[in-house]
Amino acid sequence: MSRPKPRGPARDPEELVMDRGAAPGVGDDLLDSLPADAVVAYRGEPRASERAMLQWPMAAEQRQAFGAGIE
Amino acid sequence: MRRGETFRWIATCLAQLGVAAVVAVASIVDGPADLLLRAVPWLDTALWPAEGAIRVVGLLAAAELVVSARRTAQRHWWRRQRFDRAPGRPASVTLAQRDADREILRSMIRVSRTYPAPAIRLFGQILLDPARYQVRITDEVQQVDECLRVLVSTTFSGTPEDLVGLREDAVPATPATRGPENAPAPADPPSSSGANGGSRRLGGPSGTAASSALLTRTAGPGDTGGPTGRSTGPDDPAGPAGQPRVMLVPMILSTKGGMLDNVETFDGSGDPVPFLSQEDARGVVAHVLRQLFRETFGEAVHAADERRHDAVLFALLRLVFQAGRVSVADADAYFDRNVAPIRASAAQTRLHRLRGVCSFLVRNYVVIAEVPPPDGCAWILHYTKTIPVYGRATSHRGRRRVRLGLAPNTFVIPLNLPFTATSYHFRMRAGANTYVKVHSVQLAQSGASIDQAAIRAMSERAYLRVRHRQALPYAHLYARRFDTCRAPADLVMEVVFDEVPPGALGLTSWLAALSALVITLLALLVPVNDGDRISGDVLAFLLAISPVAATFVGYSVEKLQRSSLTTFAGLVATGATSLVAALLYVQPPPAWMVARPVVPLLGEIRVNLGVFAVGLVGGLVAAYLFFRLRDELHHYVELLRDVEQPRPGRSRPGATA
Repeated sequence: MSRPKPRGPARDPEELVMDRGAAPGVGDDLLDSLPADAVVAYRGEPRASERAMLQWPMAAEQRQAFGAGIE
Repeated sequence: MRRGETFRWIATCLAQLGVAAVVAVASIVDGPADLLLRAVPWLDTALWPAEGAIRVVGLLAAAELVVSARRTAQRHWWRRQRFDRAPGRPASVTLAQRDADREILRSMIRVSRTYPAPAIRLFGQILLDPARYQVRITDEVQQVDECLRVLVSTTFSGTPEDLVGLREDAVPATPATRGPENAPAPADPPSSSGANGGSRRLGGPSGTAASSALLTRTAGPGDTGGPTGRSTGPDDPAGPAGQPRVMLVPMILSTKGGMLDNVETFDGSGDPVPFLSQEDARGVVAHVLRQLFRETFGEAVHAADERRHDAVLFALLRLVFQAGRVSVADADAYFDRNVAPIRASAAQTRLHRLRGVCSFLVRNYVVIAEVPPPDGCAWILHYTKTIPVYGRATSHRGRRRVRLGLAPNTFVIPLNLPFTATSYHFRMRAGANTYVKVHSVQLAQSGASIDQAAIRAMSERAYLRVRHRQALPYAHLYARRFDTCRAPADLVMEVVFDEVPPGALGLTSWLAALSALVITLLALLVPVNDGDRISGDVLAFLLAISPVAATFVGYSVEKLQRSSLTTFAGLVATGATSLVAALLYVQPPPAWMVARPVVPLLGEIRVNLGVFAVGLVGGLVAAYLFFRLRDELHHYVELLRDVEQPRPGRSRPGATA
């Protein structure tokens, strides 16, 4: 069972669009693949791929060196 | 709305409805129609060849008047709601470059005076390498009304080296010395002497030089600077002596532009945990970015290089702290353009890292908690917030559920947190008398299902297990070492809850069968209504079936709301068949509707074929409901049996996602 195709940004409340990311259409495929009576939780938090931009695993020495530089 | 407007629209509606009623009566009832024709003789001329045409036109005019009255009332209702009175979405506040730089610098100075350097240091390390410090995240979701309530519990763990600085460096604060309100304001830029005297300048061409010197002032003779080179003397303009014994922990990463609803934070013992203000959080993040910048581009040697570095740093800080959310592409373009003058001095990897961090912080902000250092090396923080759901009305079926007042039973929840912790638990409970029917993991963008092979492709060490197909009243997902995934994917979980059978569906099925049986017996055994012997008892019984059914099934509104569309449709069908059977019974049937078959032992009986047909329809409805119930029950019992006694050749429940 498939959902109707998205009909532009007016379909969602303006503040709820953001979970779909910056690129238009992201997440619409997901909505199409879900059961028709599914609802999507809006967490208001960055997605995993976005969090990856922030995360930089460091070795212990690197981490200590980085911390030591903060005055 | 002006006074008197309500009376005007009521009078308008009543007048329109009154005229519509008069016209309708005149069109339908013979007497008024004749009066109308006699009053206006030319109507009955060749222009209106038939009286029937006049009646039709009259009815159409009455309908138009009713529609017009409805529109008037709708317009008035819309105006009375005052939908347009909300403040609307705020516009982004754009500061001038000089003011923006000054605000950032002011925040950095205030933070460096308020918090010990090891606290900011640890914050930066947790922010950039969360998986090293977040050893366990538990994500518990519960349905509350039309929304979800999430409780996120994070267990942090630090090394003694991380924490010892906090305990040693920290000096208990006093009310007189702590807080930005006691700190002198940053000096107004620019002072020509600010760049001299051994002070290293920070700040761009916008005139932040003198203030920036306060951040990194080198301890001179007689200066009672702290171990980090920060001044701690009471007369030192760099700041007061007392700094609290606290840690700064990045607690929530939140999307810019969104709102956090009903956020509450507390520590492992349940005590509330304070947040940093937006300004202080900005200062802390700016310190971390500044260090990243230094690591990326190195220390400037010449004064000209230093000025260039400062200009670029503040350009990046302005980008990060601007209000509103911009696309990653725009942020990257801005980054590349501003970094171009000093790009050659940076290693590509470090440059890539700085750009990623800036792009992230442009679109998200960090909620920072202030907590006391733990006695040991681990500590727990919780936060809870309400999260709305969307997509309830994007499909016909979804809209139907909303109109019937049925609550959602299929939830799609973004899986954002497993990649930032060593282990991650997700739990969800929908409500009483429900069980988890489906719990799957999908790619957020394509909706493709994730299986163990896909997990293995993400990382050899990643582990994912979902407890489903066990007829449990809660969903549970466990993920481990997702922090080792090379490229974190945007995942979502789909959790489908269903009522534990038989539940409302079972009751509806039995009531539909009872109703069908009664109607069929009525058609076969109760004497046909011949116009003067209507049995009031029979009528009352027929009409009572529907409310009795609704009462039985809907004894718990919550239970009915969580039931399926099938249950709801079954209830409606049961009520409808009862009503139609009663109407057919009241109306004396024509001769062709009465059959007189001869039944053994009973002899000739009279059968109302109309009522009998309705009984058959009711029987079909009941049969469908029973088949559906049987499938649900069979599935549920199978799940229970699999849990108790796994059969060979079948996958063990929970073995795969």
